[in-house]
Amino acid sequence: MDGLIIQIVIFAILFSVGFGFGRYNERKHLQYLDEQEQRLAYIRVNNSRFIESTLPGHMISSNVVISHDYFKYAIANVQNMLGGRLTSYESVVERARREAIVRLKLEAEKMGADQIMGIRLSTTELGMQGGMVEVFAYGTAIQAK
Amino acid sequence: MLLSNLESVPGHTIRQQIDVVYGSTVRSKHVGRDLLAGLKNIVGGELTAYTELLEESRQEAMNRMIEKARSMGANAIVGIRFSTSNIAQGASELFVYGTAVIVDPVMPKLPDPFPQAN
Repeated sequence: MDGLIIQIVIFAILFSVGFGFGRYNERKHLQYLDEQEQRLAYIRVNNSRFIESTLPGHMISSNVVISHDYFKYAIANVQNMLGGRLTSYESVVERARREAIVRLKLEAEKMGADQIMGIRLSTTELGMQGGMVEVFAYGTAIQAK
Repeated sequence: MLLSNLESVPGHTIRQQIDVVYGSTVRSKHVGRDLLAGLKNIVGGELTAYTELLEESRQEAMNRMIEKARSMGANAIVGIRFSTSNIAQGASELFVYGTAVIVDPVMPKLPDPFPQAN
C-alpha cells in the first residue's frame, strides 16, 4: 500500500514538473522560432532539384534533437489508448522541424547565401521508449550576387 | 571536394560521371549522455548532447564518402542523400551516398568585344 502511494506521489511530481517546465520551454521556443523566421525570411527556400545556377554554392546541413516532457508523455499514453491524433506529440515534431530549418538558414546566412535549393528533411525517432525526435535538414545554399 | 544535393554543382558543369560513393558509421549512445537525456525527458526541450553526437557521426560518414570519391579522382559529389536507421537498441546507423563526378567551373561571361550596333 505504501509503495503505491509513493508511486502516485512520484507520478504527480513528475507530471506537474513536466507540465510547468514543458509549457515554459515550449512557449519560449515558439517565441524564438517566430522571431528567427521573420528575420530570416529573406532567404528563399525551395525543394526542386533541377534548377541550374551559375552562382557558386555548396551543401549545408543542420540537425536538432528535441524530447517530450513527462506531461506530454502521460497525455500521449492516454491518447494512444483512445486512438486518433496525438496532439501532444504533434507540437514536438513541428517545433523540431521549424528549428532545423531555422538553423539551416542561419548556416546559409553565415556563408552569405540568400537562397537554399533542393531542401530535404528527414525525421528519425531516437530512444527506446520514443519521445525523442531528430530532424535533419540539408540543402544546397547558393551564394548571393 | 564540392558537395551538392542537387543534380549538379551550382556554378559548374559536369564533365564526367564516375560512380556512386557512400559512407556509413554506426554509433551508440554514451551511458552518461543517456542518463542526462532521461532527466531531460521530464522537462522537455532540446537535447544538445544528442544533437552534437549525431552531427559528429554524420560528419564522419561524410568524410568516408569524400575519401572514396577522392581516391577515384573525382572533384565533386552530387545528388547527396542521407538516411538513418535504428539497427539495434541504442545504436543507429548513419548512411550517406551520392554520385562522384568531375566538374568544370563555368567561365564567367566576358563582355562582347564587338557589340552589334543597332
